[in-house]
Amino acid sequence: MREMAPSVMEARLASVLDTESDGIIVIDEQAHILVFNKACERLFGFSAEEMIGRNMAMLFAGEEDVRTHNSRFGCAINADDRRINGVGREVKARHRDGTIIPVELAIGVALTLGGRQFIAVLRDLRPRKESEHRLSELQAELARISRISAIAEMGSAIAHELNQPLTALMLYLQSMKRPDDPSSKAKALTLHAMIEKAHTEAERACSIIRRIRKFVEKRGPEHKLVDLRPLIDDAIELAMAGHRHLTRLIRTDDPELPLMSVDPVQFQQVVVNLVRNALEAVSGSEDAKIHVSTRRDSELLELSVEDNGPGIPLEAIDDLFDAFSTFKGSGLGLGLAISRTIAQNHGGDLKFNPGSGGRGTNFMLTLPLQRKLAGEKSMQP
Amino acid sequence: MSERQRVKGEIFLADDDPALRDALSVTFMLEGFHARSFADGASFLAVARESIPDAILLDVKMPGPSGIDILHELHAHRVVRRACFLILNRYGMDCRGDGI
Ligand SMILES: Nc1ncnc2c1ncn2[C@@H]1O[C@H](COP(=O)(O)OP(=O)(O)O)[C@@H](O)[C@H]1O
Ligand SMILES: [Mg+2]
Repeated sequence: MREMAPSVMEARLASVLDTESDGIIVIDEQAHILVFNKACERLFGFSAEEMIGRNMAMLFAGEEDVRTHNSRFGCAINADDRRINGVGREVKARHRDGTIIPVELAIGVALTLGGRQFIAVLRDLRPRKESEHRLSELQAELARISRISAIAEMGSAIAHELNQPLTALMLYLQSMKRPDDPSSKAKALTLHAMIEKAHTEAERACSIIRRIRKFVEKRGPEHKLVDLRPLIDDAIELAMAGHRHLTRLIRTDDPELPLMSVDPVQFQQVVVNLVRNALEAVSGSEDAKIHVSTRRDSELLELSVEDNGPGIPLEAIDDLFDAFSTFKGSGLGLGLAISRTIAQNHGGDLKFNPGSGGRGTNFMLTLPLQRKLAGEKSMQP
Repeated sequence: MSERQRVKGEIFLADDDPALRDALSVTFMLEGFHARSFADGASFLAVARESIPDAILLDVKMPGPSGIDILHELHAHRVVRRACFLILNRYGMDCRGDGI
């Protein structure tokens, strides 16, 4: 019986190793491979036969990985290292054909008669990455649909906005074509001035269209290190369509606003949503006012949109961020739901102060300040 | 346009869009009218209560009193009888260019 026990154990172990869907590698203190299970064969494209006895470092990409593995598995192994005691971390594995595979690596230590052995468990992260990627693509698409619907809701206001410079342009052109006193010096001066003015108005019309086009353009999610101020100004310009001279917009910025890593259009989308909601809340009130401000502290940046409207209706507060919750005739009720998703995808949040009883609503978008991670590159637009 | 010999009449116009205001003034001026423009309903009313122009052009939607409010107010002052009114709708004029 005593003699049978190890082989039963061995058989069981072999079967467990082979059926396990995660890759399992056992190595000695010099990182020589002792066990290489079936999942590893599939993951790396090498057979167990080929790999037994070789150094595990060859299975990982990137100098850093190789070095840490060598030092960690080879010589001075610090048994207190949490990462060695079963806590997974993401590393890059290299397939036989050179493909780099993101894997989660967890390492356990076994004390055997022949010295310490290390058990590495490798999980292929590609399916998870794939579904994460898919999710963020879907969210980006949903965000875009909601941007399109926001523009659609603003349709007539935008038409008005666009008609303004075009009408002015028409009037200037019409005046220029007048036949009378062609040689008068005054006329020549006026003519030149009018061409300038006409040009300015054509530009104004173009910039409205440019802004809208950028807002609804189809593109995947992206993150850039940018100055938020021009983004905020531009988003406000867009959102104010039709309300420009009826609502007072106050704008203040923290003097030490750092560059932030955001998806620029999605960030603008949040600003547009919040400002539109605020505009709708104050519309019709005597001294309609909206204050858009930024503020930073040591950890985060806060963008606040505060209005002096009636506050959020009590019955709306509970599911304010739910999709399709709206208290407006024309609204889709998607604005806040998507704004919060965007905030959270940026590692931030969207909070509010419901106001009422004479105080208006205040929405606050918070974003974590850029942590300068080692080796992180800044992406310029 | 310093020689004011042939001024055909005086026009007051109120519109909150500065460019539109300017373009309208220029057009009227070249047509031989004397145009006076106002950025909002209140400043327009302040002057229109005192002096009555030959024609009035109003934007419906402006800060302060709207074109409609102004119309009512001036009606009370009997200005309307003497001046010819034109109210622009909220979406401006249509862009054919022969609208005025
Ligand atoms: N600034 C605000 N003041 C008052 N109520 C607001 C404000 N912002 C949002 N709300 C309420 O939240 C609801 C949901 O907003 P949102 O998700 O943007 O959808 P929608 O604007 O399409 O209704 C609004 O219908 C409104 O009742
Ligand atoms: Mg909304």
